[in-house]
Amino acid sequence: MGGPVMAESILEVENLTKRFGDFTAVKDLSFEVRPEEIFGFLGPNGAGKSTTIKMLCGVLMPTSGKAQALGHDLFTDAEKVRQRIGYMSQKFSLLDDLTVGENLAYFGQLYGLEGEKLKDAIAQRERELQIKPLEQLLVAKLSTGEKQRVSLAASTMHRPRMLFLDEPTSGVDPLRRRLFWEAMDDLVLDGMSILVTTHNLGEADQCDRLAFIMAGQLMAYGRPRALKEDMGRRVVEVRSERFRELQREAALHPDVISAELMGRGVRLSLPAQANPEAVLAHLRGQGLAFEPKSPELPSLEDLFIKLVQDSRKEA
Amino acid sequence: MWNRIRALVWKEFLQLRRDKLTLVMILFIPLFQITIYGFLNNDVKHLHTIVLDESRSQESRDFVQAMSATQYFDVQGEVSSEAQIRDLIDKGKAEVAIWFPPDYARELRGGGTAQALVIVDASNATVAGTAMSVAFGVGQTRSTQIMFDRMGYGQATKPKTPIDLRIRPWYNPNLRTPNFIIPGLVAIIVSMTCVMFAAASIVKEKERGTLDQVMVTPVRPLELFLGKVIPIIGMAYAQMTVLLVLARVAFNVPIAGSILLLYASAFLFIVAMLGVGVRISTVAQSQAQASQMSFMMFLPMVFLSDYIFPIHGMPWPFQVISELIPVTHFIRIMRAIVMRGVGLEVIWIHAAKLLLFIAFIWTIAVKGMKRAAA
Ligand SMILES: Nc1ncnc2c1ncn2[C@@H]1O[C@H](COP(=O)(O)OP(=O)(O)O)[C@@H](O)[C@H]1O
Ligand SMILES: [Mg+2]
Repeated sequence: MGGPVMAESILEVENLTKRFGDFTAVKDLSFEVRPEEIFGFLGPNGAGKSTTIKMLCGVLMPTSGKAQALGHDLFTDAEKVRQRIGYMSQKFSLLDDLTVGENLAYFGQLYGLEGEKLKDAIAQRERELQIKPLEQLLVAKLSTGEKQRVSLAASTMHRPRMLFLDEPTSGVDPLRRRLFWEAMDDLVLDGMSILVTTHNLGEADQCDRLAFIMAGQLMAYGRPRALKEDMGRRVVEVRSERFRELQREAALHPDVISAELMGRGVRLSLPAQANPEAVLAHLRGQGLAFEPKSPELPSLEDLFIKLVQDSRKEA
Repeated sequence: MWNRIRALVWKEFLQLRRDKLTLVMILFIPLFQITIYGFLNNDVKHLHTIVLDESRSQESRDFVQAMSATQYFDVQGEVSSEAQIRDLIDKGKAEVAIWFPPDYARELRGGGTAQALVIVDASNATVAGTAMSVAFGVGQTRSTQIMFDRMGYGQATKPKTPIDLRIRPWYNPNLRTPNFIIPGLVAIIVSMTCVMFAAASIVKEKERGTLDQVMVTPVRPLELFLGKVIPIIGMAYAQMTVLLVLARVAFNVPIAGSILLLYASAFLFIVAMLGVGVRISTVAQSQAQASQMSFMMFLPMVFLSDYIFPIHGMPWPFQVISELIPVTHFIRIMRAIVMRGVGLEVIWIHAAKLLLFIAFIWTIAVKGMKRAAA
């Protein structure tokens, strides 16, 4: 954090708003993406993630708001940055009646690559994403995981500085997901900045920074660890034979925010300033035997649930 | 800019190459259409001919004799009623019928005008054309002979034309020969390609979201647009060329006028029909809807354009609609150039009307595109 490179940001979004008729899909959204980071855009379905990305990539006109990328206004000066932005849409959008190789060549040419440069770029992308064996196949014949890698290859043919990935790993198995994230890490090492949307909390944890949005609004924003710390809670997991009784007892304690069943144990959320040992001692005093793990930070899931509950209370 | 357009066009051709159904449609529809008209049957000698002779006279037998002497007509036999004629022609067993009314011989002998009726199944235009001109020739010859005969007998009064041979083409009342049909066919097929293809291929990309992926590249809207329409223009010209070559080779329909002028005016027409296609693509939500709309555009083009049915016989509202349809004007341009060999001095008015239509359709098409983008 901080340091001498309190970097200029790659992407700056200010009060971005999109209305469809009288429905507001994105409301007053502000955030920034810094150089060479993976920025996670987290939110449930319908939160407005795709709508935001589409506006930033120039596919959709915003209702109001500003966005700057790489020193240019995205909404008035988009032509100047197109060459340095990449976009992979949520809906698979390569041409499925063309082969993998033809798709890469097509998008490469649209970004101005030709001749040797084009060939090199195709070869390099195919190597990095391990899609060389697919080159002659029609895209329609590929599996979901293969399609996603080919899409990533196509949207990075021109080595953009800023890459937008809209749910690039939805619908693939954990192993493929991990491979995809490794590919993203390589791109970042190469100097790219990535904004990636997801509703997978595990993926969100891997991001350098996060924006959590719901119903088009920013709910939380920052490093995953900082977000967890900011919740002001500690979590203690407790294993016990009599976990049901334990849960009931714990929920009655004034310092316990929540007590959830987890396997054959209970997961206790406490305020950060509370003393976990005091709570545990109280429970032992009730004649319950258990083995506690050491207290830790809440997970993003805890944050997610808290934010959803808070917003329900408000509504 | 041109490199990007080239990439866009190249991609369209790759897609087309894999889309066998469309490819077949583009290439074979013209062939199919043209054969449907049965133009390939050029041998028109020995037409099956039947006779309904109600006059039962030497004179009528002489006329039939003269007809079969030409070798164009093979008299198959006699029938006894009009209903039989209709039946045999409908079944395709006879192509020509000669009908002498009861008073044929009496009129002829009395120095009046005798009527004979030659009925031709004109659903095959080539057959009909030949049959009619030969029959007409025979009628004229016989008339002249009889006239001379009469004058030889020294009749004082001015003789009437002895035989008034009426020829009545059935099923193709305006006698539409290949020269006449093919220009219309070109116009109809070209417009089908432009409208359906433009609409379907744009809507397909909208549906699949593939347009989004292109919109984020440095490709400008104009380039994207040209990349879409250039291949379609190419296809339309290819179809037109195939048809014209075929017309020339198989049906002996030469282009009387300037080919350059023909292709230049075709450009106006293609641009006009592309406008219709693009306009449809801005409102249609799915490919199915796009092809329905294209088809709806298509019906008036076929029926009100003077292509098959002559427009002057129709009620005035249809005539007004006909004037508003670009196909009508292109068919007129084509017929003028192909059949009559005339130039700009005649076709300019139709070219001007096409330009008006282009201005109109593209204004609303562009409006539609802008609305879709917002
Ligand atoms: N073109 C549109 N017209 C109307 N509503 C839309 C349109 N696009 C998206 N929405 C609505 O906006 C909301 C946000 O959608 P989206 O950005 O796709 O969410 P996410 O990507 O986070 O799942 C949803 O409620 C969706 O129905
Ligand atoms: Mg989405």
